[in-house]
Amino acid sequence: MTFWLAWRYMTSGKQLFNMSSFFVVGGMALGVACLVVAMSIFSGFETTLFQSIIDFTGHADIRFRGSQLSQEKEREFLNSLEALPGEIAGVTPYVEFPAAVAHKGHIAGVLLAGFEPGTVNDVLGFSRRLIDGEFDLTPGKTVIGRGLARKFSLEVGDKFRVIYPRHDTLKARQGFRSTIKTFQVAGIAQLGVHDYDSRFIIANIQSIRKLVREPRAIGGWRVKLKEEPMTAPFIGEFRTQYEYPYRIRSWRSENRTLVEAVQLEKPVIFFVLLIMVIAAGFNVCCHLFVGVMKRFTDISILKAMGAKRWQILAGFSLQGVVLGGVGAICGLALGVIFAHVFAWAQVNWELMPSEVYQLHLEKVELRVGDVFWIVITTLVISILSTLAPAWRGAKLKPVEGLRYE
Amino acid sequence: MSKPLLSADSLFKSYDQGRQRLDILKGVSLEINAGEAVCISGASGTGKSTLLHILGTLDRPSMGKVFFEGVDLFQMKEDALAHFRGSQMGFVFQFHHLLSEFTAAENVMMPLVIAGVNRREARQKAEQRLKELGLQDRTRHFPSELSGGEQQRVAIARALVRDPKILFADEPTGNLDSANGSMIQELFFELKEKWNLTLVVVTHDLKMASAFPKHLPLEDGRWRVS
Repeated sequence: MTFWLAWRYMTSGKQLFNMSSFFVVGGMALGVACLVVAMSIFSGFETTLFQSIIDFTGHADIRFRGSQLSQEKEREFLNSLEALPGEIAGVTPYVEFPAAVAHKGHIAGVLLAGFEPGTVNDVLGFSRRLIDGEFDLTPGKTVIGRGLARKFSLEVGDKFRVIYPRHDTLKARQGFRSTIKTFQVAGIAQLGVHDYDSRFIIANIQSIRKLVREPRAIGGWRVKLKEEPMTAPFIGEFRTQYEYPYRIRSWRSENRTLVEAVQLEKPVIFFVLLIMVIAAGFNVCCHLFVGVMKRFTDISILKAMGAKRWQILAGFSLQGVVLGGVGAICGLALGVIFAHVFAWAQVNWELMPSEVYQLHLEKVELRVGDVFWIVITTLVISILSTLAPAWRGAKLKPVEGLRYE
Repeated sequence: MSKPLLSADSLFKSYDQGRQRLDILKGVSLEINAGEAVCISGASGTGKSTLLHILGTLDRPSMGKVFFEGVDLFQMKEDALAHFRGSQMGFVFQFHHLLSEFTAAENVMMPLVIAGVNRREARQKAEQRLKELGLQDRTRHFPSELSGGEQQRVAIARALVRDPKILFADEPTGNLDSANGSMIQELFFELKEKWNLTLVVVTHDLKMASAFPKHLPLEDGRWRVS
C-alpha cells in the first residue's frame, strides 16, 4: 500500500512533475554533482600521485650509506632479498648526486639520477611517461622531466652542460672542484610530481659514475614487487634483517606530506561538500511539509479507513527517498559530465598548474567506492529529511483534517 | 437482553480556546443495537459531528467511554484502534472526501489495500461494489469527472467495501440537491436492509431525520428533552 500510495501521489501530476519537485531534484542533483566532481578530481590526484611515485621510486627504495660495495657482496645482498616476503618483479641499482645545469644563461640545481639501462624498465615507469623522444640511456644521453625542459627551453636533441661540484681535499681553500659534462636530451618525460619533473636528470649509471669520478659508487636499489600490498611486510622484514649501511623506504614515505595531504583532504572535502547535499535535504523537507499540509484531509481519510501511523510515515518518506534518489542519479550524470569537461579543460588549459599543486593531474577518476558513498549518504540525507514532515503527517489525528472542511 | 453493538457513556468534549473553554458535548450517553438505523439531528454547532467522530473513534472524548460489543474502544492504542476502525466501521462524509489523485475504483479499493489485501483482489471487490451501486461505467473516472451524486455513491461504496458492521454518515446529503439527496437517503435504507447494516447518520435535515425509526435530537451538547 505504502509504495503504491507514494507512487500514485508522485505520478499524479501534482507532485513529481511540478516546479517545486523540479527545484528539489535540481538542488539535490547540484550537490551530488559537486561531490562527484570533487571526488573524481581527488581520486585522479591520488592515482596520479601514487602512480608517479611508484614509477619513479618503485615500491621500495633501498639506500646504501656505505662507501663501497664489491660486486660479489652486491650480488649476495640482492640474492638475499629473495627470501623476504613478497615476490620481487625487479631490482635496479641507482646513484644520485646533486649538480647544476647551466644553459642559455640560466643555472639551476638538479639531481643527477643514474640508472642501469638493462634493469631500469623492469622496475621504473620512465619509458611509458615519455611525451617526446625516446627512452635512451646510452652514455651521454639523458631523459629529463617536462618542467626542466620548459625551464631551460630544452627540446629533444638539444645539448646542455651539467656541472658537478666534486669534493677535493687537495684544494683546501675552496673544497670543491667542478667537473663539467655535456648531455644530449634523448627524451622528455611527464614524471607527474612537480619535484621530479623540474629537478631530475635521468642518465646512464656509468656516465654519472664517470662524471663524479667514483667508478664503484652506489646510491641504492629501487625494488618493484609483483604485488603492491606486499610492500609493507617486505619493508618490515627488511628492517629486522638489515642494519646500517642499508636503509629502506616505501614509496609512501617518498613525498609523505603530499600523500598524506591528498589522503586527508579527500574525506574533508567530501564532508564539506556534503553540506550542499544537506542543504538540498532541507529543500526535500520543506517540499514534503507543504505536501503533508496540503494533504491533511487525505491523511485523515486514510486514517479513517484504518491506515496506521507507520503506513503514513513510510508513504511520505518514500516520496522523499524517490526525490532524493532521482536527484542522486541526475547528480551522478551531471557530475560525470562536469568531471569530463574538467578533465578536457585540464588537458588543454592546465586549470590546476603543477607548479601550484605539486602534481600534474593526468586524469579524473570516478571510483565505484566514491559513487557508493555519495549515493548512500544522499539517500540517508533524503530519508532523514523526510522524517519530520512524514512524522507530522503520521501523528495527525484523523479528525484534524475533517474538522474544518 | 443482548449487549448493544455500540454504546456511549457520559461523553464530554471540550476545547480550550485561549483562556476560554468551549464545551461541545455535555454528558451524552446512547446505545445502538445491531441492525438499527439511528439519526442524530440538530442545528449547526450542537455537537452532532463531534459526537459522530467520537463514536467512530476519529476523535477522543475529554471524558466518557465508548464501547463496541462491550470493548472499551479508547483503551486501545492508536494503531490497534486504526486497525479496528478499518475493519468494523465505514464512514461517509458531507464532502465525499474522495482522494482526488485516484480513480473511483482505486478510491474504493483503498481500505482493502490498507488492510493488506493484494491489489488485484482489492480491485475486483471494489469494482463489484461499484457495480452494485450502479457505477460500473465510472470505475476509471477520477472524482473530478463524476457528478455530486456519483461522488457520494463512490464514497458509500468505499465505506462498505470491507463489509463493516456499522456505517457512520455525516450530513451525507448536505452537499447535494434534493433529488440526489433523496436518492442517497433511499440508497442508505436499501443497503441497510441488504447487508443488515447498523446505520448512524448525522443531519440537520429534519425531513431526513424523520424517515429514521430512531431519531435522537441533539441540542447544545445534550439530548433534547421533548
